[in-house]
Formats: sequence, structure tokens, C-alpha cells
Amino acid sequence: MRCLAGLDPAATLEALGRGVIDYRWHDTIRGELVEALAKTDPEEALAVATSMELGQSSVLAHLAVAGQLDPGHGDRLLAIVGSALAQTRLVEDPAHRLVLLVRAAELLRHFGEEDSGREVLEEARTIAALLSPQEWSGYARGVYAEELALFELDPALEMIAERPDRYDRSRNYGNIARKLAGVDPESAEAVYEKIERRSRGRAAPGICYGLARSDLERARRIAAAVPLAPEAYALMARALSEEEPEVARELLESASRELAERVGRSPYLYLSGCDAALAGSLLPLAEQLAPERVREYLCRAIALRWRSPEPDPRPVSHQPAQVKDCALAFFVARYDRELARALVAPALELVRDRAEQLQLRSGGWKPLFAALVEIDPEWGAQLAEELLPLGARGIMANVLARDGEARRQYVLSECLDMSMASTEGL
Amino acid sequence: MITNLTLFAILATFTTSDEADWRYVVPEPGEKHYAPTALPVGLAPAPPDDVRVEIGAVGEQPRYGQLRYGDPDSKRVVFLLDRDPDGEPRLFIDRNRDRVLQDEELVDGGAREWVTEIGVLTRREEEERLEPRQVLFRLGRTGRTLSYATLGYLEGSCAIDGEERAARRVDGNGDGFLTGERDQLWLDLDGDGNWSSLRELFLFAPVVTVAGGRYVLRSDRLGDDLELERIEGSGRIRLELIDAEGLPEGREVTAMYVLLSSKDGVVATVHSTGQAVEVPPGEYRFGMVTLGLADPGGGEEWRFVFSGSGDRWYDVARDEEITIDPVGTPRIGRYRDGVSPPRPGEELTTRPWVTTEDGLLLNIVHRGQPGRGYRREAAGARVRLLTLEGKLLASFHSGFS
Repeated sequence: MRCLAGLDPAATLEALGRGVIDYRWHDTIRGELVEALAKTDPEEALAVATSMELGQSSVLAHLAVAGQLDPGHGDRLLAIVGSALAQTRLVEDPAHRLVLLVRAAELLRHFGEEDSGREVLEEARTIAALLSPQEWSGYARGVYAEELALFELDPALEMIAERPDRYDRSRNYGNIARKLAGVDPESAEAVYEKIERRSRGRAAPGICYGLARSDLERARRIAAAVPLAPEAYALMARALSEEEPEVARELLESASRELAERVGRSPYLYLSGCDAALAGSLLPLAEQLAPERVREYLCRAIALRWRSPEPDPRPVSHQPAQVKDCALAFFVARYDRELARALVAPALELVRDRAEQLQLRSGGWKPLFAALVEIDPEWGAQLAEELLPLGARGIMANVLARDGEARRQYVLSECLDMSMASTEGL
Repeated sequence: MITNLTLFAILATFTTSDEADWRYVVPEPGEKHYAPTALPVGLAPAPPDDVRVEIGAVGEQPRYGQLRYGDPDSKRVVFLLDRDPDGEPRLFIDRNRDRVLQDEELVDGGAREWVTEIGVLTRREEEERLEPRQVLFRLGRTGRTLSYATLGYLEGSCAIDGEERAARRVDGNGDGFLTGERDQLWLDLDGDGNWSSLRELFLFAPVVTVAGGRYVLRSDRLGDDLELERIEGSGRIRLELIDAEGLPEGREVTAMYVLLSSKDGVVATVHSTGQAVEVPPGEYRFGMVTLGLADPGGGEEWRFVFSGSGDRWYDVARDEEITIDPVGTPRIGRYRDGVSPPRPGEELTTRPWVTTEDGLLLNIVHRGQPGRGYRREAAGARVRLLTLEGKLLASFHSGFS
């Protein structure tokens, strides 16, 4: 039903009205409906949001509608956010109230209503000061500090330093560095340096994405020092693809070459089989920046595949090596459908052999499902009907519900577990 | 047929009652407070059983609905949404609530929006009263949601700490009344007439926080009067571990951090036992309890973090002090998957838990102080599975996730 809400809001509304859905799911489905309707009819989306129980979900739904408004609708934005804030003030749990206030402040800032955003952040300050740095309260304080950092960096960093868990602190520092990257590169790097060394690699690509436009040399320096340099270069190329295509082309090349080198020197990442898929994810960028070299980049991606000399001994419920190729196939499909079919064939063979086992646990097989509908939606649907586990249908529908870049970003983060190469949330 | 313009002229100057300075105002479309967010109404392909349809030719895709606009036991207003021969949506509303839909009840309107007058049906001193309001109906772009909203607002003023402030009241939950949980109260706190949605909008609740002060809201349902009474004074909360004396020797309490929240959003934190903390009067419950106990062996202290929402409310009255125990007698139990005893070969899963007496779940145990490189210990429960004869079948250590 959640998937249907995105694909066919009208049918979903009717299903909700008929009372055929367990009421406990109503607000979850309404939340999805709001997201889907907000793009085309904000008023209808608000009507659905207003029918939700008062509380966090309703507040987030209102903010989701406000987030889809076209720029220049300042009065409407303030009205919707104001309504969300009035509800927020009734949320009993102070930690949850704090997070909701911060989300509202972020949204206002995003729409250029910086003064209003600061005002909301000020309201949040008194709550943040009372909460413990531990557990969910600590998380809420971290969320607050991440937004506060844009205006008052030192107090924000002090709040983060109080969090007891070093991984939590690193996550907060990473998010702050990412937010600062586009506006204050020097501070962004200083905060990045606070991230625990072993966590820095994961944070670097997102920070480099933000730095690419504001301080390219700094971004290059940070990218060159981490194992995830290819991901960082790829995101930097994406950030500059419109404004500075020459530089973006060069970064794309760096990403591709670094990937090849990484495969050579890091057997762990090589065995993970993700590098070929990551190389595949560069193809749309190559198509945009250097269309004459798409075939070359495709061949490079194929060359990074990992071929197991022995059959994978692990149970089918885990993601076997054959499925890694499906991630690559997803990206290859647009350029060479037959090659993509060949890439998914071994995984399909495995499904045919062990369909019963797969019926129970199919989460790790998402790359196959995504690749099938990308190669040929009708073929994918037929296989879903005849062969694939039930869970495949929802995943396929979610992939098909999106187009172009939105689909690629969705698949990267939701199906291929490659969120570090995705621009979603950056 | 009633036209929008006629209605507008009538209602824009309507005063709600002769006893108050509150008046109902419907501004021009697009102006501030023209309409709150519309609420969806359920639609069905057939009319309710007790409704007669006397419309000459009901169009294609007829859908019926009804809404209660007034007292909870008031007669509902039924309506029909269909399409005319050109495929354009039409709306018929049984405004006189006689449960008969007739041709003359067709509402004039645009392709997707209609405005008509409907009375808020209420009873006062055994007499039925109809308070006229303009109501907007809107067909969503999907063509499958019809939503509605009471247009405009009630305008008047109220005293806040002795100062008269302009106020507007908006029907946010679409029942015609103004004391529901979605009903909006706008207070022009700075007197600039701008009605800031970030600072000057409140949802109607028994207690609201306005400019840092807490006020009890009093109003009749139609909104003919409004009073904000400041909640004065304070009460005190003292924490005490009632069973602390029963702790093993050396297990002294080294730290106590407690978060309490009230029903109307006040947050109070208490950092130690023994000392009373001043809080606004209200009902409070625990949201988090952190307890530090000294290690009798002289090592780093043990810290226990309980969180969740307490299942007990504590009433803190003005000028009074209450003593409460944040931990009480801990409850110990276990979750187990499945309800029937497992059969041979089946997996048995059990997850032990510890809560405070008020139901806050223990989910962190560590040693040392936060921020000083504390260590997670292998704290947890030892679970042993025994036969009836006492033979050990399995054993494991359950920690914290």
C-alpha cells in the first residue's frame, strides 16, 4: 500500500476510505500519500496530512508539503510551517519536540527564510539545554547542534563533544562538516578533522561534494587521503557537471582510475564486488560529460567484476556473488541491454534452483529485482509473476515509480547499499 | 440556488451574538485566514439509508458523503458529488438537514471549489441554535477527495496579563466549534496586526504556553468568549530513592539525572536527589532516568540509563512539594516470541528486560562518566534453560542492543 500511495494516490485514498486497510497503517500510508500528492496538489496533500492523528507524523507530513512548494511562496510556506509548529508545541516528549523544531528551522533556512529559521532554532535552544546528552535525547541534541553549527559553531561543537559515544560524535561532526562545506570550507575541514580517523572515509565523499563548488583544491586534498576517493571524485564530478564540465570530466576520470587502482591494492573491497557496480554508476555521468567515451567506461566497469573461482558456498538467503553482477547490470542496461541480461543470467539461474529458500529472505537480492525492471519492465513483471519471491514486486514497483536520475539515486541507496555514491540527502 | 456573493454579503457583516464583541469575518480569497487547511470527507457510491434523493437526473459517478457540523448528536449534513452531462463536477448539499437531496440544493461554484452557507447546529438552554458559517468544499486534483473547511474566523480580543490583545479564532477541525484540538487561536501579541504564524498561532488546548507564560484557556464552544488565565506559582519535586538504604554496602548513589515532562509540554530536569526542584504546577511523568552507583570495589561508577515514557502521572500542585522515587521497585521480565510453548526443533527466543517501577526500560549500562571514555561493560542477564529436573539445556548472556 505504501508503494501504491506513491504510484496511484487516488486508488490509495479510495482504499483508505473503504476501510479495507488495518487502521494502524493508516497514518503511515497517509504519510506516503502526502509525499506523493505534495508535488502536484499541495492543498490535497495538506488535507490528507490534516486527517492524520495530531503528533509527530502529522508535523512531518506538513513539513513535507511545505518542502515541495515552489520558491517564492513565502507566505504559504510560513503558514504551513506555522501550523506544523503549533502542533509541534503540543508534542509531549521534549526530545521529539526538539527534532521537529529543528526540521522546521532547516526547512525555513532552505527556503531563504533565515530569520524565521533562527527564531525557531532559538525556541529549540531552551529544550536542548535541558536534555541529556545520552541516548535518544542525545540524538535530538545532536540534530539541534548540527543546525546550530551554521550560526554558532563553537557552542554546537561543545554540545557534540558531550555525547558519550564516539561514533555518534563522528556522525554529528560529519553532518556539520557537510553542511558547512558549501559556505565555510575552512571550518568544514576543521570539523571533518574531528571525526574519528576510522570514520572519516565514509564522511569524506559527502563533504567533498559540498566543497567541490566552494573550494575545489581542499576537496581534492581530502578525497585523495581516503579509501573512498573514487566515491568522492564521482560526487565532486556530479556537483560540477553543469557549471564546470571540463573539471567534472577530469574528476570522472580520476574516479574511474582510482577505482581500478583500489581494486588492485585492496582485496577486501575487490571481493565485495561493489567496485564494478560503482564504476557502472559513473556511466550516466560519462554520458553527460563525455558521451563518446561511454563504451570505454562501460568496458572498464566490466573489467572490475569479481569472478569467483568456486561456487559460493553460503546459503542463498545471503547475497551471493552472482547478485553483485546484478548491481552492475542495473547501470549497464541503459547502454547495452543484452549485456545486462547476460550479467543477471547466473543470478536468475540460482533463483530457479533455489526459489523456495529465496521466498523467505529476499532482501539481499534487491539488485537483481532492480536490474530486471531496468532491463525490461515487462520481462521483470513476468518473472515476478512466475519465479521471484513476493517481496520482489514491491521493490520493482518502487523502482518503476521513479524515472531517470531519481530512479538511479533511489536504487543506489535503497537497493544497492551504495548510499555513499548517492547524492540523496546531500 | 444560493450564490456565493449573496452569502458573502450576509456573512461578512455577521455578528455571532449580542453579548460579545466577537464577530465572524470572511476575508477575500487569498487574504490571511481566508481558509484553514481543508479536511477530507469520506465518500460512498450510495446515499445513507435514511436519505432520499429527489434530484431529476443524478449524473455519472455519484458519490455521497455527510459531515457533522455542530453538536456531536446533531443531524448530519448530507451531500452528493456527481458530474453533469458535460462531465463537470457538481455538488448538492442538504443544507436544511431534512435528509432529502433536491435539485435546488445544487451549489454554485467553479470546477473544483464551492462555497456555501451551513449552520453550526447546537443546543443552548434546550433551544436549537444555528450559527451560520461559510463553508468551502474542494475537490482534489485526483478527483477522489472532497475536503471542506469553515471559511474565515471569529475576531475579537482578550486580556493577557491585563493587556487587551486582538485575537482571531479559526475552526481547524471542521465542526463549526472553536475549542477542538485543531482549532486555531491567533493572538496578536506584538500588536502589529501581522499575525505571525511562527509566534502568534496556538492550537486550542486546556493549557497553552504564550510568550513563556502558561495559561489556562477558557471559552465556550462557539467562541463567543475567551479568557486566558495565567497559571501562577509553582510546586516542587524532590527525588528520593526510597530503597536507597537497602542498597548493598558501598553502593552509594553517585549521580542522578532525571527528565520529567508535563502534559502541557513543560520539561523539568533534576540532577540530584535530596534537593527540591521548582516546577510549574501540572501533571508530570518520567521521560528518562540516569542513575549512577559507586563501585564498592573502588572502580569506576556504574551508570544505568532508563528511558521511555512513565506510565504514571504525578500531580504537582501550587505551593506543594512531592517526593517521588524515579526507580522504585524495578520490574524484571522477558519478551518471548510466540505464545505457545515451542515444539521440539523450534527455536526459543527470549529477551529479558528491566524497567523502573513506572515502566521506563533499562537500555544502557556502562561504567565511567559520559565524555570521559566510558566503557560498556558486559552487563546483562544470564539466561539458563533447564528441564523440570533441573538439567541445564542451554545458557546464554543477554546484553543490551
